[in-house]
Amino acid sequence: MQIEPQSAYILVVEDNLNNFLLITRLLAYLGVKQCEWKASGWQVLEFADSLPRVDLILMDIHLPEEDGYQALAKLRANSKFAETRIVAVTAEATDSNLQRAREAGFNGFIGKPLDPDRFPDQIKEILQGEEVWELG
Amino acid sequence: MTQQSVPVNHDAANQLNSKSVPSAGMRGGLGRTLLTALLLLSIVPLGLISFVAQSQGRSNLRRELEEKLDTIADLTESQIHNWVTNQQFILTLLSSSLQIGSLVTDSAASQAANLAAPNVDTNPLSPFDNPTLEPDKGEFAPSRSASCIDDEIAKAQAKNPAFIMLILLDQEGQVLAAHPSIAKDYAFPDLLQHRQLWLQADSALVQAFASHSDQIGSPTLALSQPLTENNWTLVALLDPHSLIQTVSLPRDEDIEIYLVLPSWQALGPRVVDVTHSGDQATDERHSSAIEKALAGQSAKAGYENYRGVPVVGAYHWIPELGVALMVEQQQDTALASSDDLAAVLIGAALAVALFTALIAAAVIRRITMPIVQLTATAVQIASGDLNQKVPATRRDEIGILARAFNVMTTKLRALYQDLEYQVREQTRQLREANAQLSYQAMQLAISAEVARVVTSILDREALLARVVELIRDCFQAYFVAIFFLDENSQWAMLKEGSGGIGNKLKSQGYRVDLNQGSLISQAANTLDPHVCAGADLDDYTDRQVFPHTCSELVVPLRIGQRRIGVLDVHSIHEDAFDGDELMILEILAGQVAVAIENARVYEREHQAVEQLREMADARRRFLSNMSRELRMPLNNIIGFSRVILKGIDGPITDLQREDLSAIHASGGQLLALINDILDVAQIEAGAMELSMHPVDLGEVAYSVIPTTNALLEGRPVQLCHEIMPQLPEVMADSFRLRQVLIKLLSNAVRVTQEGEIALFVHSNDQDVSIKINNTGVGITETYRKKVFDMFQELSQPGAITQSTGLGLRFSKEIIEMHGGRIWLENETGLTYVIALPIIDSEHSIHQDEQQ
Repeated sequence: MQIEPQSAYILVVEDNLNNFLLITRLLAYLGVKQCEWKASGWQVLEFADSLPRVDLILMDIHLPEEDGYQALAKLRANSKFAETRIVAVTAEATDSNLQRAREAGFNGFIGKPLDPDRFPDQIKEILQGEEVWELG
Repeated sequence: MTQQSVPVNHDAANQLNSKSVPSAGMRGGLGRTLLTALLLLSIVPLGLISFVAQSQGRSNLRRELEEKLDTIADLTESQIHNWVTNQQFILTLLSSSLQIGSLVTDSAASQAANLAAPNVDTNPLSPFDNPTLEPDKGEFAPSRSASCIDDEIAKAQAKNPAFIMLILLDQEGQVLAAHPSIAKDYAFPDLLQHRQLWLQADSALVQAFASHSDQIGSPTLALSQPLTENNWTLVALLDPHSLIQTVSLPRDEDIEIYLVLPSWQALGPRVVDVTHSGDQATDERHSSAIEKALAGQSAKAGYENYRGVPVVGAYHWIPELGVALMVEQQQDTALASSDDLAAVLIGAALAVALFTALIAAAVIRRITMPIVQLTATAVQIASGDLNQKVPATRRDEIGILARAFNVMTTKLRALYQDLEYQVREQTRQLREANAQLSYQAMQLAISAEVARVVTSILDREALLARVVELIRDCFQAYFVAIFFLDENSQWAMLKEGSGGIGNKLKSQGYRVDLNQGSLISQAANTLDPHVCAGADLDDYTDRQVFPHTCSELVVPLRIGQRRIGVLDVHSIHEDAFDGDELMILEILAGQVAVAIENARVYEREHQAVEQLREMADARRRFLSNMSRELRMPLNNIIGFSRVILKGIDGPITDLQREDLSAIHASGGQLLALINDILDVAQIEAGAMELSMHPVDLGEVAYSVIPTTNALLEGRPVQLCHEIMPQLPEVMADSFRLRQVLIKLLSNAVRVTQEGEIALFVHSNDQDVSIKINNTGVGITETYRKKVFDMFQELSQPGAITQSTGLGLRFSKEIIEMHGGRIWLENETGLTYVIALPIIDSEHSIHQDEQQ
């Protein structure tokens, strides 16, 4: 299912404000209008459930309270988010982590630091239904 | 003297031996054997001589008897002969008288009248008793008529009672006259059977025959006399009893004389008395002697008679009568005298034997007594009593034997005592050795146990508790304690004590002042063990705490000359620490000291290891935090400067773009530096983990070509590559390998201003090698060796600095973690070579194990 950036609802789970700001800048540059922010892994499911619509979740792995994997497991347990595109965005960009993310049920992997030159294109590809697995 | 002492000893010996060794048999054995032998030697010859003499006498007697009997038989035979001759003479006289008288044929009437008054009542008169008969007959003979014949016959018969019957036969055999007349009347056929015989006889025929006639009833002798004138024959039947009566019996009553007819009828003085049984006897008991006599033999012999009794006898055949004469005497009576002789002989032999036995017994007693005594003594010695002595008063061989025996006993006693002494001595030595051994064994056991405790218990508290319990149990002490000295050697602190007292004192923090003169302080200060017992303890021991102690031993615990404490042992026995205990406890104290020291060292090392582990963990945590905390702000700097440069936040001036570009580039360099440092630090900390997979190095090499080309953009440098197709796989972490290749290539890019950079990937049998060569500036030999050390490149002269110098270090570590090698080759410019081993089956297993 292809979604245009302008109509996409994106949830960013990221504990670092600067990182979130960088992501929002780049998403805005891409044309995304609806973007929500959750700063911890705690109650991500409840938060996402309260949103009218979620097309993509960009999930940091290293998070306070609950980490990205735990949050993912809860989301996937809910039928509403079973098929939702959830992409890991993490500074721990190694092959083993990429593999682990793939096995845990993520739909993609983008290593940090984010490359401002490539990130908008990566998001665009994901919204078009392609998978992105890149260490950085 | 010998005889006096013998019974005493002998009784003693018997009393003794009745308990242990049976000696009665031994004592009797020799005497009895000797006595038996002597008796046999004396009696057997006597018996033999007696027997020979007796049998000789017996046979002589028998021979004499036989001679005697034979003589009697001869005598009897001649008597019989006389008798027969006499009778024959009488008959001849009668016949003469009959011939002389007129021979008249008898008339039946007169005969009948004569016969009507039979007179058979004969007087048993012997012919010898009546010698006057012959003149009488002579008177009557001349003239007689036939009728007178009967009278004549009757008269003759009356005169001679031996004539049972007189019969006158004519030549025809007809009875002319007979007296008694019964002979005519009854014509007894048995009698007349023989008439022909009588007629044919020339002269007086004496014929014995048996008559079955009731009238006669006994054997009869017939005597015939022919009357020559008229051919008559006069026959007289004679009573054999009268014949027997004429036989003069010898005075010896035992001698039996009888006649036997061919019809086995017997006639005799005694036999006739028992005629009936005699008949039966001869019939039933077949006497061989009678048989032989009847067959005409005469002999003298010993045999069984008709009664089956063994007899000595003589038998003669008397042909003129046709009878057998038997003269017999029973053997037992006949030989009675010889039996008497035998009895005398036997009696004499017995008497001699008895006498011999008595003498022999006395002699044997004298000979055997010392031997018996010797035997008894020997038995006693055998039963272990070596104090026995045999009286040796005799001068003969037995005396010598006794003396030799006594000498032997004495020697044996000495030997025995010597042996006993040796055995006692050896037993004592053995016991000592045993005690020593058991001490050593105990010591070994405790030492082994302590050693086991020392090696198995590293916790010092548990070790000390176990050791004090062990020592208390082994030495039966009532209290064992271990004191440690404090740092200033002012106090000995109780660290561990056995039992309830120990726990109590430990909880009280019991301590002993080392400056006072207690046993503990002495031992601790002098480093020598101290023992105290009895009343002295009051000065050296804390009597309030240990009121029951009777002896105390304190052994210092030390390592070399360094004192660490004391081992204190209390006992309720005063002599508890004599000798061996002290030695063993000293050894134990040494072991305990070593154990305590070991425990202390172990604890220290354990703490050090723990500390190191914690430090390593902290370092790993720090690295992990650093990698995130350092990079995150740097990433923001790089990210936001790039966002601004891209114009996302709005238009910027050229100057701003220039400055922002500097910020962005510096950020990138800083990030690379930090990444390098963190990578190397991670490797140094052992925190680097490789994810190994089978990798085609050709693909890895291809994957870095675009990146390298990007780095070379705008420079007159060419990247050539030569990559072998179908390379064998190697085990590698492709991500880290790629990092290495990029670092090496970027190094090459940095040092190459113009020319070419070459990338070769080849393989041989063992490994795949990657060679990176550039035509840029080479390095000196000195640096060649150090190039892989950390930070070296920073001081590389002439190099374009943009490198941390950590890249080569990182590469070397990574390649070596792969089991590969990296080195520089001395070619133009700079040549790096990486060699990674090819996967073969063995190698892959090795790799798996490493993982």
